[in-house]
Amino acid sequence: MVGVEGVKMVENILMIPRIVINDIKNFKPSESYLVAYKPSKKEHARRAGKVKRVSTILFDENNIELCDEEQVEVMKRGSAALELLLRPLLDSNTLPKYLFMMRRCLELAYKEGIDILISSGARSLDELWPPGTIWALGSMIGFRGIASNWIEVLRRWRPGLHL
Amino acid sequence: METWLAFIIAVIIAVISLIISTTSIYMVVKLKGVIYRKKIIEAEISGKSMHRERIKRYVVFRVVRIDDSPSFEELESCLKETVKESLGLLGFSETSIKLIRYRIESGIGILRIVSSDIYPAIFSISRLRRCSGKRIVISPLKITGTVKGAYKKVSIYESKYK
Repeated sequence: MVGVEGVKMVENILMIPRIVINDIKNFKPSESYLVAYKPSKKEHARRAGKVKRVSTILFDENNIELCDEEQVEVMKRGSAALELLLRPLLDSNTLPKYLFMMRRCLELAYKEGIDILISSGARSLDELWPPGTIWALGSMIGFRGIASNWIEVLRRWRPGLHL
Repeated sequence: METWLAFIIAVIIAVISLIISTTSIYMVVKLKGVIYRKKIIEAEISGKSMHRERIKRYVVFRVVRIDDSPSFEELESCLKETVKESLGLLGFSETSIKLIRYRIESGIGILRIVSSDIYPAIFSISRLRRCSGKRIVISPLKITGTVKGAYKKVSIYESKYK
């Protein structure tokens, strides 16, 4: 059992509270929650990239275009990790473009040494992606270790977790 | 010079040239092998495969049922359809996937994939969320090289997910 408030162990699964923020005005680092910021505008994405002690900056099919060289350069100076959702890959219409953009974003982030995280972004049970699939996707696009990067982010967020 | 002496010298020269040519051919072949092996090792380190051979792999997977379970035939046809949709007809013909085993009770199955690159096939089967109107999630658990190894893993996972 990890003895940090808000973090629970349920049947060997570490449960960590997390919030996704869409509005830059509400965006501030928290010690109780992992904070993911989903930018909708370029200037907001750049601003969020510089903020320290932020967990992740989240990209999905609506804002993946914002993940470019400039964004990665900005994020290099901050502490946020890059989070990419896999939910758009379930839709055959969005898959080709999203996979292409995702790969490009991953390559840029990897080159600059930014932590890359992959998550399901599931809104229902059938949108979940099992770890084996994330591993297969990582192997397919040339990023094998992406499934285990969460631990690094959690360590940075809460050193007290002793992960 | 005596004729017999000239003959012996000619034979000796012929033998020596034969030895030299054989040795040089042997060295060239050997060196080529060393260079080729080095290239393969370098390619393996960098993650690119020199061989584009089709290899047979067995994927042990678990069908996580959200409402109802598909039958063996339904699942096999759904898997083939989803691979066909994701990889296209040519990609599908290259993978030649086959459902070897699937038990509805545990949801554990074995899928054979014959391909030069199995990951796109694994990823495409993992995208399957609906099979004959039943909501499912396919979770790849292990990749083995032999069917015997796959069955061993199945027995371990079946006791785990009983």
